Amino acid sequence: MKKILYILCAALAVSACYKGSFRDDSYNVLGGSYRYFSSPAGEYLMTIADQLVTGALGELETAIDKGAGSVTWASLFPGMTFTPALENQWLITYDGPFTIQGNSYRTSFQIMATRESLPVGVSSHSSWSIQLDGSRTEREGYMCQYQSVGEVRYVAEEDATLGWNKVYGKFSMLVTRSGQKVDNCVLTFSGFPGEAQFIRGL
Amino acid sequence: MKKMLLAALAACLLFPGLSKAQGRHEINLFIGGYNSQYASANTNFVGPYNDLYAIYEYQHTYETGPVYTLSYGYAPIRWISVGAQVNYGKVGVSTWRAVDNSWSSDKMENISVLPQVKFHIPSSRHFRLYGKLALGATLSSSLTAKQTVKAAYEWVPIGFEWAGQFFYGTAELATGTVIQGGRIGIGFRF
Repeated sequence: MKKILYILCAALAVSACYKGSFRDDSYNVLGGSYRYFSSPAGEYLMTIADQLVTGALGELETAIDKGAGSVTWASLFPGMTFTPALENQWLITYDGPFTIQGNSYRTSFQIMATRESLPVGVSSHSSWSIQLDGSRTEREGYMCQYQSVGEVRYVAEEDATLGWNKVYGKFSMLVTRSGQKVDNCVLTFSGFPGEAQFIRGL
Repeated sequence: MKKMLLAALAACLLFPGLSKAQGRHEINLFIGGYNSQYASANTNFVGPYNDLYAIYEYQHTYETGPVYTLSYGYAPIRWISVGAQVNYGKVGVSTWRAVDNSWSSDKMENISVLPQVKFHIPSSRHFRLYGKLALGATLSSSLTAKQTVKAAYEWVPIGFEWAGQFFYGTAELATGTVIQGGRIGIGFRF
């Protein structure tokens, strides 16, 4: 009986440690590491910086590989268009539904994407600098306008097979409800995505 | 209040054989649960925090007490009575907001008035079944929100009374916008 109790206690202790460390654990999203933010608003803006931008860049790369000029692409973003601007520069535009963690709302954005370098090594991605400007309209009168502050760089190093290793730059997000300001946030990347800093209430 | 009701109900259970209740008028006092506002509020829980409303709006955790009901009925014929019920319930609200992990509390009170029709099925001298349908309105007020008036309804598929001469015990199942569950109470027929 005592042994069973000891085993149970040990199992509880191990599971508690596991649970305690889970929130600070990391997983591979941008080819690097993404740490959970203590603020759900930070996680929300991170999703835009991550899934929305990298999703659009990924689809742009696929479209370029297929020899597209001005094309319409339909997978993650149905109806998204890529318009060549200058050499190695494309304007990505989208206005339609986009799903974040199971919630789909009308999302529109423009990304001016400039290719800095082609894939190197076994990397499957180019490095890009982007300028983002977009909005998302949600239920109960909520809306957010998100944008890059200056240029944001998505860097794919030699081993970037899944995503981008490093991100440099800053995103801001203005949250409104029925036209009234609710929050203003900034997410700053300085390389390793897990080191991103989030500030809200500006 | 609760103790008085339970004591009166116990008296009716212990002394049911005084005689059958015969009057055309009846007054009932019930205690019941659980509060429908509690039930509907709990289903509004939002999560995970994957949209702005969920992130920035308050998340609610509700606590509730019983709903008290006072009803009156008049029986123009033996198997039917018409009247009204007045219900009072209170919901204590503890509120948590995800974006800054803040808590606050509020209290909501509901008073509803529902005209009702009650159908009696005489079963025996001391026991009878009934069903009830009520339609009316509920006034809700809280410390932080505006007063609201909403339509209210209640359906009692089955209830029963066991009779004393004047006082009787009663219990019923009920569903609607007032309570979801049931009530017990005492009645007085004259």
